[in-house]
Formats: sequence, C-alpha cells, structure tokens
Amino acid sequence: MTLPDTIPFLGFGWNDLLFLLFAAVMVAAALAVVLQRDIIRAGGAMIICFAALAGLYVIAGTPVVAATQVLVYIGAISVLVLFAIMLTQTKAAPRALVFQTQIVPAAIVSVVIALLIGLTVLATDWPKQVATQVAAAADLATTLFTDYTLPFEVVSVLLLAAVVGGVFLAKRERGEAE
Amino acid sequence: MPYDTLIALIPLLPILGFAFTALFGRRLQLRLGRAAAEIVPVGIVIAVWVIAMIVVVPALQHQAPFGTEGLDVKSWTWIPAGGLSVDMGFHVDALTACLLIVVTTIGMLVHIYSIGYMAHDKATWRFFAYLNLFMVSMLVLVLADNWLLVFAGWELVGLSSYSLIGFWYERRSAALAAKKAFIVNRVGDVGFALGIMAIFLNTGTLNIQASLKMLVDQGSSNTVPLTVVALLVFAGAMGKSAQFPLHVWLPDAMEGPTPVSALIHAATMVNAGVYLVARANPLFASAQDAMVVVAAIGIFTAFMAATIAFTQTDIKRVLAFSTLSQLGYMFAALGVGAFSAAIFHLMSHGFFKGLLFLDSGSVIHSVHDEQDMNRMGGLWRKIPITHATMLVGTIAIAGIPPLAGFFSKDEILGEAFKNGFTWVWGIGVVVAVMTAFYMWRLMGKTFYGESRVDPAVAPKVHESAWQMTLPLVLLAIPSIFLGMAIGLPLGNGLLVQWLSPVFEHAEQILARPAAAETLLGLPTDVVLISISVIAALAGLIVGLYLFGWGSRKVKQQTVDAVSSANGTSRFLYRLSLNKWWFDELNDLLFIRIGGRVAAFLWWFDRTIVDGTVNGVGYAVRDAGNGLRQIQTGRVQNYALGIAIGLIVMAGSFLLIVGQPR
Amino acid sequence: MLSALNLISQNLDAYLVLSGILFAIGTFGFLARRNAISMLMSIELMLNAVNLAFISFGAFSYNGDARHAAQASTIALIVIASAAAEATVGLAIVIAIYRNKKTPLVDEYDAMSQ
Repeated sequence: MTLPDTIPFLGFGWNDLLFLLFAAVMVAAALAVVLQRDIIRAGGAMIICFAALAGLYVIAGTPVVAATQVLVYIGAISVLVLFAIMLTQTKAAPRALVFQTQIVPAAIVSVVIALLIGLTVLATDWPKQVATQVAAAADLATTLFTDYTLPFEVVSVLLLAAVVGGVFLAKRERGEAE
Repeated sequence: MPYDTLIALIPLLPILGFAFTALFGRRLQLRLGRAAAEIVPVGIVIAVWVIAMIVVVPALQHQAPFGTEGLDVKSWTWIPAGGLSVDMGFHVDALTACLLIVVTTIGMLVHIYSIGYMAHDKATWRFFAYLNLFMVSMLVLVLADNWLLVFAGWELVGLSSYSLIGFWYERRSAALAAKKAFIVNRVGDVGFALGIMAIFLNTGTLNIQASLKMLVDQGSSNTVPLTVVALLVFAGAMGKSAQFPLHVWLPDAMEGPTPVSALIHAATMVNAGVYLVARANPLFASAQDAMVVVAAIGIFTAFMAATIAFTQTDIKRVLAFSTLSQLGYMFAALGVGAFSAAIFHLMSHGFFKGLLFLDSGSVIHSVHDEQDMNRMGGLWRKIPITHATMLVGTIAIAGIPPLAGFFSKDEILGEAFKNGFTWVWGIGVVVAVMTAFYMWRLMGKTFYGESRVDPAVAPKVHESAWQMTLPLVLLAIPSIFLGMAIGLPLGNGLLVQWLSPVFEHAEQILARPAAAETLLGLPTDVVLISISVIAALAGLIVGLYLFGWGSRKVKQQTVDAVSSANGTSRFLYRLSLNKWWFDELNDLLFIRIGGRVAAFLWWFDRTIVDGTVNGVGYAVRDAGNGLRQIQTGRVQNYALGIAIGLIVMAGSFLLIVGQPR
Repeated sequence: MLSALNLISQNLDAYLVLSGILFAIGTFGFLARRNAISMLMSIELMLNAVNLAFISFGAFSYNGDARHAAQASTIALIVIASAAAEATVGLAIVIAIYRNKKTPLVDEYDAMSQ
C-alpha cells in the first residue's frame, strides 16, 4: 500500500507534516532556552532544540550533517554546557533576577530583526527548485577532502588550540584552595 | 645760523629741558636746593624766547627767506606709509610769528614768576618740568606744517594741562578738575580727529597748506562736505578753547597753581583753538554756514560767561569766566570773517589776561592763600605794584582807550557790524558793558573800600618778591602800548598788513562788499567807537560805585536788594551763581543716565556675552557627562548597541536601495 | 486553509523564515539574560540558525551539480566545529571568571566602566 500524496484531513504531504512538527518543537524549545528561569531546564531545552534541528536537516536532504549535529552539539557541547552550569551554580540563583534591565529594548530589537529577515526573505524571488537534493556522503567526502582540505586542516588546528586554551583557562592556580 | 636750524631749535630746546629736569630735577632740588633745579628749565625758556624773537621779526615783515607764504622747514619723514606720508616739518609765516610772540613771551615771564610763586613748594622741579613740557607741546602745535603734527601737539598740550592742573594731586578737587579738563578736551578732540580724517579723505594729503588749497579748489566735489569738515575742526577748537558746551572744564581748572592759570588758561592753550580756526581760514571761508555757527557759539559763550562772572566770589573764578568771555569774542570775530581782528585780540588778551592772572596770584600770595574776594578789600595801599599793574590790566580788558583791549575789541565789533552781523555786534556791546562791570567789581572788592581781610592775616600783608613783580611790570607794558603799536590806523594797522597774506585767500572767497561809509550822519567808525567807549565807561562807573568807592549806604542797599530779591531777579542771581547749572546737567546726562547705560551694558556683557561663551563650555561639559553614561563596561549593553546599529543599517539599506526583487 | 501549507517543505522561504526566527530568539536571549552561560547558549542558537540557513540554501540550490549541496554541508560542518571550539573556550573563561567574582552574572563584570 502506498501512502497517499497528501494526508486526508490536513491537506498537506507527509514531509510537510514532519517539517511542521520539527519546526514547532524547535521554536518552542528555543523560547524555553531564553525564557526559562532555571538554567538546567534551559540546557535541557537546548538539547531538544538541537534534536529538532537535526530532523530539519534530514528533511533538507543532508543526513551527514544531521548526524554530526547530534554527535557534536548534543553529545559534546550540551554536555560541556551542563558541566559548566554545575560548576558555576550559586545559592542565590532561584531568587535572582532572570532578565536584564535592557530587556525591553532587547525584545524590540529581536522582533525587528525577525521581521527584517522575514520580510526580506518573503519578498525575494528565489530561484525555483524541483526536488530536494540529497547530499550523499560520497559527494560530501570528495568535496570536503579535495576542494576544502585547507579549511579542514585549519579547523583541526583550531580545535587543538581550543582544547589547550580551555584546559589552561579553566585550570586551578597552583596552591589555590578548592 | 640759518633760519632752519633756529626754527628747529625752538621746540627742541624745551624737550631737552623737560628731559633734563624730569630725570635730574628731584636730586638737584634735594641736594643743591631749588635754584639748581630751576636754572636749566628757566634758562632754556629764555633762550627760546630770544631765538623766537630773532625768527619773528623777519617773518612778520615778509622778508626773505619767509616771504609772504612763510618758510617750510622739513626735518624728516615721520610716517612713510604708501599713500600717506607725514613729515616732521615746521611752517613759519606771519600767523605763526604772532602766536610765537605770545607763547614765548608769556611762557618766559611765567617761568620767572614761578620761581617766586613756587618757592615754598616741595616739588618745584616737577612743576618746571611740566612747564617745559607744555612749552614743547604748544610750540609744536603752532609750528607744525601738517595736521597730524598739530594733533600731536594738541594732545600733548592736553596732557601737560592735565599734569599742571592736578599738580597738587593730593588735593582731591585738583585731581578731579584735571580729569575733567582732560576728558572734556578729549570730547572735542574726537571731532578734531574726525575732521583730520575727513581732510585726508577729501585731499589725500595732510600738509596744511596743500590740503587747504585742494579743499577750496575742489569745492563741492569734496567727498565730505566742507561744512561738515569745518564743523568737526571747530569741535576740536571748542574743546580746547572752552566754548559752549565744552566750557565746563575751565572754571574748575583754577585748581592749578596761578602761574598755570596764567600760562595755560589765559594766554596759550585756550588760544590753540583760535589759532586752529585761523589757520584753517580758507576752509571756513568756503563753508559759510559753519562760520555762522562759530560766530553764534562764540558770542553766546561770551554772553553766558559774562553773566556768570557777575556773582562769583573767587578771584580766579572771575578771571576764568572772563577768559571764557573774551575767547567767545575771538570766535565771534572769526565767525564774522574778521580774522586779523581775532588774532589781534588773541595777542592783546594774552598779555593783559596773563597780567591779570599773575596779579591775582600775587594778591593771593600776599593775603596768605586767601582766594575769596569777600575777605579782601582795602589792599591798594599795602600792595602797590600789584595794584597798579592790575589796574592797568583792568583798564585794558574793559576796553578803555588807548590801551590794547580797546583797539582789539573795537576792531572785532566794528568788523561784525560792517560785515552785516548786527546781532553779533549788539550782543558784543552788551558783553562789553558787562565785562567792564564785573572787572571793576573785582577791583573794588579786592583793593578798594574797607578791609575785610582776616584780622590774623592783615598785619602780614606784604608786596611780593621781585621775581613776581618784575613779570607783572613787564606784562603791563604791552598791555598799554600794543594796541597803539600795531593797531593804528583802525582796521588797517601794522598787524593787519602783516597778516594779510595769511588771510587774503579767505577774504577773496568771502568777498564782502564795502560797508556803508556813514551812519547817522557821522563816519561809521566814529559812531561805533563812541558806542564802545560809552559802554565801557558805563560799566566802569556802575561797578566802581557799587563795589568800590560808593557810599556805604548804597553798598548796603545793593546787598539787601540781592539777598531779598525773589522771583525773576532771584532766579537770575541763582542762575549766574550756579554757572547756569551746566555741571549739574552734565552730571545728570552723562554720569547718571550714562551710568545706567554703562551698567546695563556691563550686565549685558557679563550675562549674555560671557554667558554664551561659558554656556558653550558648560554645554560641552554636560554633553560629555551625558555621553559618558554609555560606557557602562558591560558587554551586553554594547551588544545591544551593535544590534541596534545593525538594524538601522539594514533597514536604511532596504529602504533606500529599494525592495529586493 | 491548512492545505495552503502543502509542499511547504519544498519552499525555501519557510526554511529561511525559520532560521530568522531562531536567530532573533538567540539575539533576544543574548541581550536579555543575566547569566553568562545563558548568553553562551543563546549564541549556540544563533549559530544553529545560520547553519540552518546554509543547509537550506544548499538544498534548494542549482540543480545541475551535485557538489553544490555538498558545499553547503561542508560549510555547516566547519561551523559546527568552530562552534564547538568557541563553546569550549567561552565556558572555560566563564569558569575562570566565576572563580574570581564568585558569580556567573554578567552584571558584575563591569570593570571597564567609567
């Protein structure tokens, strides 16, 4: 049995349904990240947001990037963030103010940015496309390791420097008390 | 010695005298006594007199090298500035010679007189230094051949006058009087300076002879109308010669020592104005409206001053107002076109007024510095020489023939009448009566009648030293004989002949028709002379009777009449006593009202001008303070700024460049 | 009405609008939160928004060459790697400052103020 092109009640296709689901989850999670008082919950919401994004990447036809997103962002960065949160906890956190004094201008600025981008995008006449390309791993590997070898190597150096720098910065001073 | 050198020496020697006395006088006086300090300045002035006499004789008679146009002596170029070139040069003609006679003679006699008069003062050296400085300034003024040098001498004369009036500077009244004289002079000098600028604007040269010729030739094509130029020059003369309304400084100037009053305010400085107008006679002749103004102001001053002299009790004040009155006569003469008559009166007045002032100084000296006439009287026996010379001076000024005053005054009145200025003549006759009256009043109160001298002082009244009486006698001589020497025949005497080349241009321009030969059946001259003589005698008789030898009953009646007068008479009396309230008027106008204006301007400068400048500073500072608030040190605030900037840029790009496709 | 959403996943506009919304949310979080780590999380959101934009451009780009889509993926990978490096260093700094100031709140980090 083949699935019909459009879902009977809703009127749009399966891909579209998935897209809308992932999009809604992503936006909701992002809002939770910035609005939650409890920072651990914000970290959790961030993980959910990354996951939704991975889904969107799959729908957009780049499974490799989706996989990398899950591995790196959720697997490494989010864990790192949670560790940092735990190391910088203060007792007064539940009672402290969550937002800055400049929250109102910030909100206005964000809304304006969103509108600017949105309106510009909608007004632009993008070139039409027939079907989503799927970026096969083979093509990606070829491109990455032949055309973009230099950036690849530079990024590895960058990561090395980041690791060294991170260790050095976070290291305790000699003789400093716990 | 060639005349060039002699003429250059005339102002040069007093400069050296001034410098020497100013530098060394004090030490000389302290170490070696007064005489040591006085030798150089007095000696120099005597030398100048000798040189001046040598120069004057050929100049008056139009001998070579003076000729009829006069001699030009060029020293060096003072201001070589492109279009304007001013030389330090001198011009000597008959007019200069007349002034030189007056200035050097009276100057010399005053110097000698001061030896005696200032014998008890502790700063005698300073006095002689200033006197020499004054001689320099007056001589430069008279000898100058270009307007700028005249102006320089003009200002210097004002400065010397200021120094001398305020010589006893510890006295507040003296300091104030000196300041007043200088300031009122300056008001006139503004007019003079503007006049010089106008002359330069019109002619492009400052040489006197050249510019006058050009002014007349250009006539109505002058940039600045000639009437305006003439009035401006006259404004300067008004200040220096104390004509209405710039006369207020002269009475106060009596605060200075009497030799100063004699030299400056009777014989020389106040004549500078008359000299100026006489020198510029072609200019005035071409601007006859200005001449009428000159005549009007002159005769009005004469009248006003005479009325004030009626009630003054200070002997020097009476003489001061008398000077004002006679100066008014001179300007009236200039105004009606009687230039030689004006110069004649200048010379004779210089001598007899100088004599009268020095006499008054002698009187004051003898009654131990008492100047109020109400405390004098009956002095004629005790100070005979002073009395005799003062009598000569009074007869001269009253215009009784055959003394000098009669000739000069009568020539003025005669010319006025013949040139059609009957109103000037009429007022002039009235003033002559008044002059005689108040002068005899002065004589009567000072010398005749019974003595009202302070009893403590009375026994010590004595005649003055020979250094003081000698100049008196020497001055009495020209007062008696000058008129007969150069004034006869009337209207065409020696002086008129000497001065005719100087004034002929003006006379040509004026072109007065010949006057009527007979009046009321007699020759005009005889009628006019008789009227003048009768006027003088009338004043004499009334004055002497009321104040001198009249019976005591009459005197008492007069005093009663004056003190009980009310209504118009009382008002007139007070008008005269208060000098027509001009000082009060000036005080109201310039001090009170002007003070308000000045205070307002000061407020304006402080609050608005300074406020604006300071306000800019405050505004910048406050703006800086305000802008400083942006630097919070917090990254998030900066990030907000970045975000806003981003929005603005993107938004304006979208708006301006246009909607994307 | 919902049928208007048909083929929305084939529409580049949707992806880009989503990316813009995510970026705006990230900006808001960065400007408005007091905790330094919240700020860093917001930065991660912004980076992800950019990644999404790149990927969607790559998906809808010119057809003929398969390597076009691959290029977008390459960029996205490099961005992810850079984000990782940046997060490492940033969190290390926050921890170091926390040791000094005893608080993760950026209000206190104003030593550069006037």
